[in-house]
Amino acid sequence: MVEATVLNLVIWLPLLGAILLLLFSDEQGSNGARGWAAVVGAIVLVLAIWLYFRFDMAAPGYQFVSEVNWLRSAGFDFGSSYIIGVDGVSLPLELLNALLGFLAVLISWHSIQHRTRLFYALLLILQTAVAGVFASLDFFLFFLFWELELAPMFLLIGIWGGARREYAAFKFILYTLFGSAFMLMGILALYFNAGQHTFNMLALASQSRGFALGLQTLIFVLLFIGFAVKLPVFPFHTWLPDAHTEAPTAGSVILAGVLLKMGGYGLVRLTVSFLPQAAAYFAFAIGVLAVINVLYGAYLAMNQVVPTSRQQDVKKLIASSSISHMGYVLLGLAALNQIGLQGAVIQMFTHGVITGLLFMVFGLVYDRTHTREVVRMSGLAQRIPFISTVFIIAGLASLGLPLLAGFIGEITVFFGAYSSTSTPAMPVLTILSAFGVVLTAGYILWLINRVFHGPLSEEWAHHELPDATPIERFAVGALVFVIALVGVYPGILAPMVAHGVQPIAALFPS
Amino acid sequence: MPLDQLAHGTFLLGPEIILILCSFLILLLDLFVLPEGASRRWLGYLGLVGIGLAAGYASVFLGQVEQPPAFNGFLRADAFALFFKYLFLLATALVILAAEPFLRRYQRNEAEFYGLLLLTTVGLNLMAATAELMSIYLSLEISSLSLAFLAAWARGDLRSSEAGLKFFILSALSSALLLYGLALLYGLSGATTLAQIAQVLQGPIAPAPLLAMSLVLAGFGFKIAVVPFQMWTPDVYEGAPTPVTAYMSVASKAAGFAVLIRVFQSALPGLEPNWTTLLAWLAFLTMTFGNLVALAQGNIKRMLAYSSIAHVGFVLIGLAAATSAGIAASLYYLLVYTVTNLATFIVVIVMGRFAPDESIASYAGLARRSPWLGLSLALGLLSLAGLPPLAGFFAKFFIFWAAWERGLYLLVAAGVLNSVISLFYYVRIIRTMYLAEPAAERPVGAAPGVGVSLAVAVLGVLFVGLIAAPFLGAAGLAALNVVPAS
Repeated sequence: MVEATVLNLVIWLPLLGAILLLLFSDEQGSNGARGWAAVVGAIVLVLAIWLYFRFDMAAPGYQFVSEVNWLRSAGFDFGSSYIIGVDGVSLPLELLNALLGFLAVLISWHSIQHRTRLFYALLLILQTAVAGVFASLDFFLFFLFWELELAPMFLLIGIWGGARREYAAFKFILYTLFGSAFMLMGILALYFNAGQHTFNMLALASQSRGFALGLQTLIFVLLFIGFAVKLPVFPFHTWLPDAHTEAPTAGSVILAGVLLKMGGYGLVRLTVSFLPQAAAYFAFAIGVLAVINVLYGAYLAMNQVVPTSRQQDVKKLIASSSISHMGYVLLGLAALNQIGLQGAVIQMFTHGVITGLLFMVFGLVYDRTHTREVVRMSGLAQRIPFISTVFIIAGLASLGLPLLAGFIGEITVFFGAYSSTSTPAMPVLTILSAFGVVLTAGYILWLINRVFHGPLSEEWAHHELPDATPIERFAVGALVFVIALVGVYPGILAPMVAHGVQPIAALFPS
Repeated sequence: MPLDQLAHGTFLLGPEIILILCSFLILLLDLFVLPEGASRRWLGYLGLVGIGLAAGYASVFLGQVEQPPAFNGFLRADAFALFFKYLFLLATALVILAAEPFLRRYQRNEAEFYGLLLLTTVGLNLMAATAELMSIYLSLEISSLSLAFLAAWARGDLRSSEAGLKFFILSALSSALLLYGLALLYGLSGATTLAQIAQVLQGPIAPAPLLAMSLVLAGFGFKIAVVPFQMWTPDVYEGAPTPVTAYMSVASKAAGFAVLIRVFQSALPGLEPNWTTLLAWLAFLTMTFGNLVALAQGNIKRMLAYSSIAHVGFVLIGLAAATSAGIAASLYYLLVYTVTNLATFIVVIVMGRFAPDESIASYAGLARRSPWLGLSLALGLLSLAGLPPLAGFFAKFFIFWAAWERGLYLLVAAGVLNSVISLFYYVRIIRTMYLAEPAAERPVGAAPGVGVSLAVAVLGVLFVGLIAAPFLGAAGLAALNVVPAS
């Protein structure tokens, strides 16, 4: 089947591109490295979009499935093989990965000046790892791809990051590996308690749904910790502000736009879907954690704009808003109904593009001003109108303005959560989370007002501040287009997600 | 018929005889044929030819119906022995190639180095192939003595002499303990073949067999550097010439495990509840101790010594599981550990010329001074940490899988958490290589032979995991020799 081959290409082409890049380019990369990476990214994006149009909304289950007999031999067969496929939940995330991967290459076009060959190679390897995570239908393979993204991200943060990059890189890799340790134990527990030992997700799911509640809750906790570090869920979120802030622009975009979604995907696909009774048992607790995420993330973001003498860091604000918005994903998850889960996945996609855009645009600002401090920037719209306009659009999308994508994700989550019948006290939690929208409006608008509007600060009055170059305009313009498209016509995304979420939601009485 | 026995035994000993003859040939050529100033490198290549011939000979035993043991059951050529023999031959070949920078610098007794290395391999091969008490001791002594000499090879270096002496004294001590245990086993059973001992030691547990088991474990514990017998490892690893350290860390450790597995599985299955608990505790202590102390090291050879202690703990988890899956996982882990550790050490060997103080700080910016060396060391360290898609991940995964199957949940949790801890000090070195500014500007170069051995090791790190099926299959077949299928 052609589509299955194309899916394999979407996963493996970036890695192949990275290897060729490392072999045939010199250390500085010059024009060759970034051009090559852009070409590979564009090809993968086109293939991913093609897969999107080939998705059959009438067929149930996974599509574009391919299987390769991998770890089996005469003396040792332990139930794993290379199986990949997508459904309505994972295909939008694959698209997100392809899109942000390509645009991350473009946004770094002018700003990465040293060791460019290694930089673009690492970006491509990262893209393969994440694409593999979303497409894996075998738990061992999933774990393998999951761990694969650690080393490239560590190097990306550690080499091209900000002043505290080494601390942030170490924190990121150790924290994530710590979470993965729990995930591994959860995977082993699932495998060995299933009647038929296998890592195949489809076979495993049908068996794990029959486990006793006690066993389910234990495995649920183990897996939840692993995914909670990634999402991130309070109190496992402390790595995020450091990592996002210190990472280079492309690193922040991939980290916030795609890597966080791995956690959400794991929760939707592998935890709730595999262990429905445990999910129902913990749903209220998850809902509470969601509210804490939303409000505490908003609080952290607010801290960045309150005019005290403490350092006010724009990237830290955007990172904290990420924590807050991923709380909506968790809220939709806690609802355990069709609309709620749908909202969680849609919110994952929209948050990915919106936060990706926020980091991208601020990366452009940082390339010009070389500071992230709010106090030092004012009235930038007078000098860099295009960048300012795009940032304002991104900010409005982030606070959930209708006709932009953020509204779609948030409204679906709120509808689903409010109408949840599986989980107690959801209306209250929904209202509390909705308050987060108000807070988001607060800090985003305050930030825009402070940084872009108003009088031009002295420091930049005599400083050279060029506006965006054509390549940068194309990159941010593409994301604005996607955000507007999904905002105006959610039908491009929602039916596919609904189709994917439906078998999971069917597990829960409504 | 004694003559038949002799013929059969010689047939089974073929690879070892080839290695011995090759070793003697190297020594004789050096003494009588080669002129004084000529390069001895060709003798190294002759050693490689010998290894190749031995490996080719051993392939005769592959796949066929298992050969009956020779010499009244003392010598076996089963899948277990073959697995280890190939492991040792691989390790020796890579070390011969990689020792070139050290021998260039040292310029003395090069032929004897190669010859002794081959004789050590013979000793290790015998350790894996034998199933009888006296020959266990004999082969252990052959290899220990040779390794002690090899450790002291750099005669002008005080630390090397210290390493050799420490290794020698501790080997003697551990051999004495081992001999006590073996003598007790003989006394209790009246037989020296492992199978016969197992037959006698059935039934209720008595104190004497437990004592024998403990003494044997202590004796081999020194060899494989299990806590609390690991004290010699950091000093000897740091002081010995790096090629010898590399060889010790992979080959002699694997051989120690081979004998340990055979003795415990074949001779002492009756005591299984006792030694599985003991091994589980030792595994936990060894992993944790090795990892925690490695965190504090600034000398790369010492750090790798403590890291190898930690990895011994992981292998012991598989032994503690005591199922065929567990033993297979341990054997696979030893194979992965061999290629990974050799990859790491070969880079250290090359850097020996450029970083004489062996500190981790001197590796700063290695990724820019020599991208391939930096990448090789990074891959080796990440594999040691257990990150996919490298072989170390697969090795650890199978160990945890086997342990979980047996119900050793806490041990798995400890192992997984130890992996996380170990990542910190491995990544610290990667950080120094990639993130820090270069310590010096000179690019680091290496001779082609070293490049070949490094390439082989790195390819192993990359692919022994991804293409695990044949290696796991071989390990599984080997494990079936000592454990009935479960």
